[in-house]
Amino acid sequence: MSLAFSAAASYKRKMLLPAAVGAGLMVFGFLLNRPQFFQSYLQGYLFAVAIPLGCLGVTMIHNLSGGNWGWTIRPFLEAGIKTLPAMALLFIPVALGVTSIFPWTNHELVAHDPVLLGKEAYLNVPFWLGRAAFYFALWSILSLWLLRWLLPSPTAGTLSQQHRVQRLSAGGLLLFVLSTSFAAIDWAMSIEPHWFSSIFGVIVIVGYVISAFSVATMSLILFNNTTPNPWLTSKNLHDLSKFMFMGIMLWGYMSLSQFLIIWSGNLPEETFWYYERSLGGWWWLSLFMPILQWVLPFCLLLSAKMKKKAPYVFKVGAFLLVVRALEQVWFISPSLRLGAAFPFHWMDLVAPVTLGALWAALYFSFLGGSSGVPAPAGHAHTAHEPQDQPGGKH
Amino acid sequence: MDKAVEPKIFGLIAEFTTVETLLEAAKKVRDAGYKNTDTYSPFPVEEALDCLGQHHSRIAWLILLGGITGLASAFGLQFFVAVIDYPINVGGRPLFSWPMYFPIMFELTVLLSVFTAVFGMIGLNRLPQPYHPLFNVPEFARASKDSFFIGIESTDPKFDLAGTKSFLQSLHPRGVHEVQP
Repeated sequence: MSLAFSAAASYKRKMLLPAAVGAGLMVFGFLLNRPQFFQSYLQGYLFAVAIPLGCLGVTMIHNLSGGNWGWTIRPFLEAGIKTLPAMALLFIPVALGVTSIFPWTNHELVAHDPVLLGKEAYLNVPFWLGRAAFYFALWSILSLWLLRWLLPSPTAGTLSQQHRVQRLSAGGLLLFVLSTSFAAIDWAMSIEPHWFSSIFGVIVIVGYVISAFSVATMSLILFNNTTPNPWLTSKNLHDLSKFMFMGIMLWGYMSLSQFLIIWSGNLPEETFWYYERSLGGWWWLSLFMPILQWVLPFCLLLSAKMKKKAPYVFKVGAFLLVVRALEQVWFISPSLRLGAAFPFHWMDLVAPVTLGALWAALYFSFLGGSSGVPAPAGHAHTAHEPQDQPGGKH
Repeated sequence: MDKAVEPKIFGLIAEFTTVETLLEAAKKVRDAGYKNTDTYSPFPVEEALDCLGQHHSRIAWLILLGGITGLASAFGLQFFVAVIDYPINVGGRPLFSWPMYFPIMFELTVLLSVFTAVFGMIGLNRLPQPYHPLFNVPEFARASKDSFFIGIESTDPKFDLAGTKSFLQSLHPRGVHEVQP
């Protein structure tokens, strides 16, 4: 039994309008202010690419851990993974604008800076482009391979088929974490080429996980309106909300660790990154980031009762996604527009909406073609048969 | 005691073989208006309390209180020691170095939350409890293996031995057992 997502086509059509209007505005912005276009585009791109990458990581984790929470959102994760190869195309404007975005591409600047001169072997345009191509090749191969071997339901497949998808996921997760860490360094951390933080990649990966769980849980709730989903039980929804909660807790833990280490080390070559983010209007964004990404969602997701209310969880997920887009601005813009009195350019708003809508249109079209939700595991679970297979015990 | 009182029965338990039948039955027990009820299972069945309509445990609020106590005492302790009682200049940092307070605030919040959760659970469950009337039912041993039970206690205002027994029978359990006190 499977229930296809027939409403996906209409959601896809709804996404096309904001995507088209946004793309038009971005073209206008490109003609008006080229460097700003590329910077805003990078922020929007980092926001959008986080979702399919998060879907890839979460699916591989679920292949290893098992659990009904993963089967509940499996079709959404799969549709998310399918968008990954296409995200390489949307990266092209970033690649074209690399010299407008990243200060280390400025030869004048690098020539008079011993630190940047020392980093030139890594931070140079051809190698940077090559690495980006390598990341996308790796992620595309990994996602296509995974989609080929993924099993449609907890009870499907032979033991050896279950094992091979687990082995692929174990190796894939290792490559995934390494490659996304390097991508985070290349695409976000190198915006301030003097700065270094070894925990930065982990913060970005945690952002992927929050994005993926928000989108998958929101999709689950959204499609349940038109096609009731047998997996959407109060226990499964509770688990998914707990994963969102775990995401913001991890985000808080990692972000605070980075801040604390740099703050207590008190070395000028590290602290300036936070100093830049305390100048002008950025001070307010820096103040609100921990409140919006941690304090507020922490309080919103604390109650077990509220974690099981579908419309409420949907709204919290949407809120978390907005903050994901905001954090990309916080990563990129303060270093490029030092001490700006008003932090945001209008394109900083348009870019994540455009790229988010484009991604969503792609996602919904893959979702429309998906075979739907897997059949629930068995008819009844008793003490004799633990229901979380495969990957339970061998 | 001037009149012979029949020893009051503790209640009735009905035995089921699957989680699904247990949850179905729990909903019917709730809809029939029984309040002093409970379920017993070999592994945690989180939905059971919702199905019984019994999700008003005070433990969540106690844990929140424990967490807030931990947070406030960690902040208070560090502030008192570093700013008021024994101010020392550490590497030129301000006395009120609040970023460094976070690790201790986090740890104490977790510690007191977990302590409240564990000891609060034990206290609210009235443990340790070496004797319980349910042990009088031999079949109840299967609650640790492969059976799922719903109990209706005789303190329930709607409880009536014959009526409640036939009600439980109507839920198609494997068996209904009287629990002697």
